Amino acid sequence: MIVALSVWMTLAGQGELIERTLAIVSGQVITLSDVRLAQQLGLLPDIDRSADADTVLAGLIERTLMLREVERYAPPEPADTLVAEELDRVRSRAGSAETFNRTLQANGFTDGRLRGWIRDDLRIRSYLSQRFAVTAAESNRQDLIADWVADLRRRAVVVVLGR
Amino acid sequence: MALVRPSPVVLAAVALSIVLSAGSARADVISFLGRTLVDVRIEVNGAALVEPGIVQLIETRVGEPLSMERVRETIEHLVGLGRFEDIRVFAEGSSLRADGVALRWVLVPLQRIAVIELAGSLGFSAAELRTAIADRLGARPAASRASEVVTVLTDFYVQRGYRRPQIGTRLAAGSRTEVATLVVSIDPGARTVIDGAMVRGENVNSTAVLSALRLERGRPYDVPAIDARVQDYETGLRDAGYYEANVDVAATFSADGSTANVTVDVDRGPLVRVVFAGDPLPENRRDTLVPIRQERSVDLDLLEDASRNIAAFLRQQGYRAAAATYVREERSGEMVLTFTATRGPLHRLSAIDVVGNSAVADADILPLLPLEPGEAFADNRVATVAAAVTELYRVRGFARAVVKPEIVVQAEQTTGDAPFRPVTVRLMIAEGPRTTVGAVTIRGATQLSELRVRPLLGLIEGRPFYRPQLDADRDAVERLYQNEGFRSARVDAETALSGDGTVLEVKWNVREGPRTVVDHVLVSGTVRTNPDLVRREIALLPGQALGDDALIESQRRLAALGLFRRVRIIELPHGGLDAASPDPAQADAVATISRDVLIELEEAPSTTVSYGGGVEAGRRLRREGDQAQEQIELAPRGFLEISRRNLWGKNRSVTLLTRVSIRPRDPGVESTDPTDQGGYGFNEYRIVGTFREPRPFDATGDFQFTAFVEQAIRSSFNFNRRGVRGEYARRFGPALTVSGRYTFDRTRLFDEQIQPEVRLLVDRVFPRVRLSTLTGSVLRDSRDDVLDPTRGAVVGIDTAVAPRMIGSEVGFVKTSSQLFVYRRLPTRAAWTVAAGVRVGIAVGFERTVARRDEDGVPVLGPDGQPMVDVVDDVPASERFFAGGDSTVRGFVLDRLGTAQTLDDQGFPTGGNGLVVANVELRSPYWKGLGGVGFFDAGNVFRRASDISAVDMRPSAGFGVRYRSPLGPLRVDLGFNLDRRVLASGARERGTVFHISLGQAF
Repeated sequence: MIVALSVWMTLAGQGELIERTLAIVSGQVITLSDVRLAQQLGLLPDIDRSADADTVLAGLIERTLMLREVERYAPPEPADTLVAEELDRVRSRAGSAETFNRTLQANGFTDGRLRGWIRDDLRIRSYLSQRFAVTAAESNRQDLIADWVADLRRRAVVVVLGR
Repeated sequence: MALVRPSPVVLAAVALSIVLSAGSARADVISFLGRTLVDVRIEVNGAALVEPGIVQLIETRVGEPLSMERVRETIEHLVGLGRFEDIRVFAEGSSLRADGVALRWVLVPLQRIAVIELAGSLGFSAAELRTAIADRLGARPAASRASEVVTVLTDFYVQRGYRRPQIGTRLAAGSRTEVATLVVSIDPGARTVIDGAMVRGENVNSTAVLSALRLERGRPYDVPAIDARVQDYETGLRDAGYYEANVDVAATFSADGSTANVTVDVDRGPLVRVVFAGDPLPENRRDTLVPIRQERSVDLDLLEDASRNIAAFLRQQGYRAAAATYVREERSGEMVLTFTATRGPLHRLSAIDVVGNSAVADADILPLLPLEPGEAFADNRVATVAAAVTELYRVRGFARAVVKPEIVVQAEQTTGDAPFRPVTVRLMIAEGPRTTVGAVTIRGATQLSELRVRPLLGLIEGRPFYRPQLDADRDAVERLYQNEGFRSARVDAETALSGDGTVLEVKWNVREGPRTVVDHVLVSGTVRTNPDLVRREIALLPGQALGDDALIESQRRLAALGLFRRVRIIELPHGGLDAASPDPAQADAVATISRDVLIELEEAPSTTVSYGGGVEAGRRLRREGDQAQEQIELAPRGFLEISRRNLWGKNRSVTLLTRVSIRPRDPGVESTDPTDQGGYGFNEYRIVGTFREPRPFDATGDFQFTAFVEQAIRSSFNFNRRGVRGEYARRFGPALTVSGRYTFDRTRLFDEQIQPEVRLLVDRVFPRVRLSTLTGSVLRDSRDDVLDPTRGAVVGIDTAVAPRMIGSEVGFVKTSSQLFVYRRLPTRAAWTVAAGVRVGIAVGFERTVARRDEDGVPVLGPDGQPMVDVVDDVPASERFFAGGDSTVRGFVLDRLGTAQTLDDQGFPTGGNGLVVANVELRSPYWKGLGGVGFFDAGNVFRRASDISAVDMRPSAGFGVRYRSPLGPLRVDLGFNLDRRVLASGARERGTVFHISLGQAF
C-alpha cells in the first residue's frame, strides 16, 4: 500500500516519499529510515543485511520492546571503549568512510545517534546475559528469550502501519 | 546481541512495499539532501495545518538546507504528541529555484474509538462487555486496535460457555476526525450447558456441594461464575476449620461443545483443632501467637513460626530457657495440633553495669539502658541495649567498638510466692581507636563541579567516621546527579584506613554517564485547557536537565490544578548520544541524551453538580412568653452546588452554591401583626456565586469575587444580608496564607427579641446598615488533618476596618486572633492534647445622628436645635457572640455573656470583646470510637476594655467521637461549672448536649 501510495504520489507530481512512520511501539516510532539503515549497516546482529524489509522491521520492533524493558531496570552503562569498538565494526561494514557518512546522512542519523544505538544494544546484551544465564543450552536460552519477547509484545501497544 | 527471530504476525506488515520503496527512495533522498527548503507545507486530511503548537515542532524550516536528521526528529516529536499515527514526508524539486526543494508533511491523525456500539443478541449487559474491553484496551483505544476488541470479546464469550462466538467490527466516522465509533456485531452462538455434574471426595455431601456451586443440569457452563462460587465454598470450609480444604472443578465437553460434564473434586481435609499443653499461655494471646484461625492455614511454615512465637513470648516474660513444640496428630477424622510450651525457670534482672568505657561518659550511655532491676530478664532486650550502645560508639567514630554483654545467672531465690533466678548483666566495652575522616577527594566530577558535590558530604575532614553516613553521602551525590539529568550516574567510595585505625581517607569516584536533557515539552489531551496554563506549571524546560525532582514537581503541580482526572508524564527517547564538546577530538566524551517530555492529560469534567442534605439538631434560645428559653430544635437543611471549571481554558471557575434550612423563627418582640405567628419555613438560606481567577495578571496569588444573599436565624435577632466581596489570597509555602479582601454589604435586622428600650442605639438607629469593609488576614495552618488533627498548630489574625470614608454608614475596627495547638502525648497509645485561645476586640467609631420621631421628623431640643445622638457601637452583625458546640460547651448557642451582654430576658446582645479558651484531651480511636475530656472557659464582654479573667465562665465535660468517612462525628456533654441566676430569676442550665461533625476546634 505504501508503494502504491508513493508511486501514485510520484506519478501525480506530489513529490517523492522520503520518510514515513512504519510502526509505533508503545509511543516509540520506527521509520522507513530505521529499516534502511539497519539493512545498510547491518545493525541487527541476528538478521542478515540481505533480509527483506519485513524481517528487519520485525527485528526493530522486538529490539524496541526489549529496550523499553531494559530501561526499567537501568543496567550499568557500557564502557566507552566497548561502544567505540562496536562503532568501528559498524563503520567497517559500510566499506568506506564516505559511504558510511552518506548512509548516516541519508537516513537522518548522526554519529551521536549511532553511538546511542550501540549503547542501547550493549545494554540489552548486558540485560539478557543477566536475566537469561549463558550457561543454559543456547537453544533453550533462545526459546526463553523468545517467550519473554512474546510476553513483552502482548503487554505493549504495537501499531504496524502500512498494511 | 541475541535477537530472536521475528514473530510471524510482524512479518505480515509492509512486505513488498518497503523493499521497493526503500530501494527507490534512497537515491531520491540523497538527491534532495542539502538543498535549500523553499516551501514547507503541513497537511492533515488534505487541509493545511496552521496550529502553532504543531508548527513549532516542525524542525524543517524554509531557508535552511534539508536534513534528514531534522525530518526524523520532527517525526519523533509528532508521534510523541500522541495525536498522529501515520506521518509521511514528500519532497520535490522547486521550479522557483534550481537548488530548492519543497517539503510536504502529511499527517494522519490518530483515531480513537470514542463510542462502542454493540449489536446482536449480546447475552450479557452492554456495560459488562464494555468493561471487559476497557480493562484490556483502555477507555478510548486507538482505532487501529479494533481487531483486539474482537479478541477480547471472543475470550469473554468463550470463558462464559459460548464456544464459537461470531464477532465482527466496523469503524464508523465519529463527530470529529480524531474519533470513531466502533460498531461491534455479536452472534454468541449456542451456549454450552451443564449436562451432568458429579462430586468426588470422602465424607462430602454431594447434593450440598452441587447446590452451593449451582451446577444443576441445564445451567450455562460459565467459568468465571463457577470459579467464584468454588472460591466462596472453599472459604466456607476453611472458616469451619477445614484449613486444608481444596476444591477443583474440571469439565469434559461433548463433541459439538454443546454440553459439559462437570466433575468436582472436594478434598475437605481433616477438621483442625488446636490444643495448648504444658505451661499456660494467656487466653487473649493464643490467637496472635498461633494465627491459624486468622490465616486459615496449617502450612508447615506457619506452624513452625507459631512455635517460635510462643517461645519468644515466654522468653520476653523472663523465661529465658522457654521452648515450644508442636505435634500434628490425626485422630478420628480430626487433625489435632498440640502446642506444648515449656517455660523453665523465671529470670529477673538484678543489676546492670557498664565497664570499659573511657572515651564515652557514663552519662551518655546510661540513658540507653532502659532496664530496671527486678524486671523480667530477656536476652533480646539486653542485645538491643548492647546494639544501642554500639551505635553510640559508631556515631562518634569508634568503628571497631565492641559491646559484649556478660550475663551471669545466680542461684534461685524466692521473693513472695514466685521463685526466680537473679541475673546480672555487665556490658563489656572494647572501644578501639576513634577514627576520624582524613582527606576527602572526589574524582570524575566533570560535568558538575566539585564545588557542588562537596557541600553535600556529611563526612568531611576531621569529622568522626560513621559508615551509614558514607551511604547517605553517596545517595545525596547520586540524587544531585539524577536531578541534573545524569540518570545513570554511579557514585562509589573507596576508603583507606591508617595503620593505627585513627584516620580514614575517602575517595569518591563519580561515573557521570550521559546527561539527559529535555528537547521538547509536548502537551496532549488538552481540549478545553489552554496549553500555556499547563506549561506554566511544568518545572521542565527545553534544553535543561531532565531531573527527577523537576519531574515529580511538575506532576504535583499539574495534579494540584484540579483540572485533570489523570496526569502522566512520559519520557520519549529520540536522537542518540550527542558529544558534549563540539571538538571532534573529544567526541568520545558522550554527554547528552535528548528526551521529549510528553505531558499526557485527561481533563476532568468541567461542570460538577453536588447536592446533599441533613438535619441539624441543637438547643437554641426561643422566646416563650417574655423569657428566653432553651429549646431543642430540629432543622432540616439541603444544599446544591454547581461549578463550572476551567473557563476559557485558564483554570478560572464559577460556582453557585445554594443552601437552605427549614428552621422556626419567632416574630419580633415589637411585632403587631396578629397573623405572624412565626414557625417553620425556609427562613434560613444562603446563595453564593463565586468567580475564581487563579494567578491574575501573572501574580502569585488567587483572586476571588463573590456575590451573596443570605438570611440567618440567630438567638436574639434574624438578619438578611446581601453584598459582594473581592478577595486576593496568596500562599507562602504549604502552611502560610496571607489574604486581603473588600466587602460591601447591606444588612437588615428583623424579628428582634430584645426590647427596644434596652436595644443598643446602633441597632435602633440603623436596623438596616450599609458596611464597606477592608479586611486583612494572616493564617498559618500546619495541622496534619483539618478535621481531626493530632499534630501542628493554627495561628491566625484577621483585622477588619470599615471607615465611613469608604462608604460605611457605621464605622468600626475589629480584630480576631486565634491560636490552636495539637500535640500527641509521648505515650504508647496515641493520646492527643489540643488547646486553643480565641480573642476578639472591636471598637466602633463615633458618629452623630439626628434624633427623629416615629414619623421621621427631627426632634428639636429645648434650645430649638435638632437633637443628636452619638452612635459608637458596632453593628449587631459584626458583634461577638459565644456559647455553643465550638466555643464554650457548657452553654447553648450564643448564651454566653456578662450581665451587660444579656438582657433581662436572657437574650444575648453580643459584645465588642470576646475571649474563649479550650483544652481537650482526646483518646485514641478503638474500633472507630474515641473519647474526649474538655475544659472550656470564656465570655462575651460589652466593650473590649471590659475583658477580665475574673469574669471568665468555666465549663467542663466529656464526649464521644465516632470516626466516620466524613470526619469525626461528635457528641459532647458540657457542664456549666458556674451556674448563675439570670436577671429574670431563672437559673442557667447545668448541662448542655451537642451533636456535630468534626472536632470542636
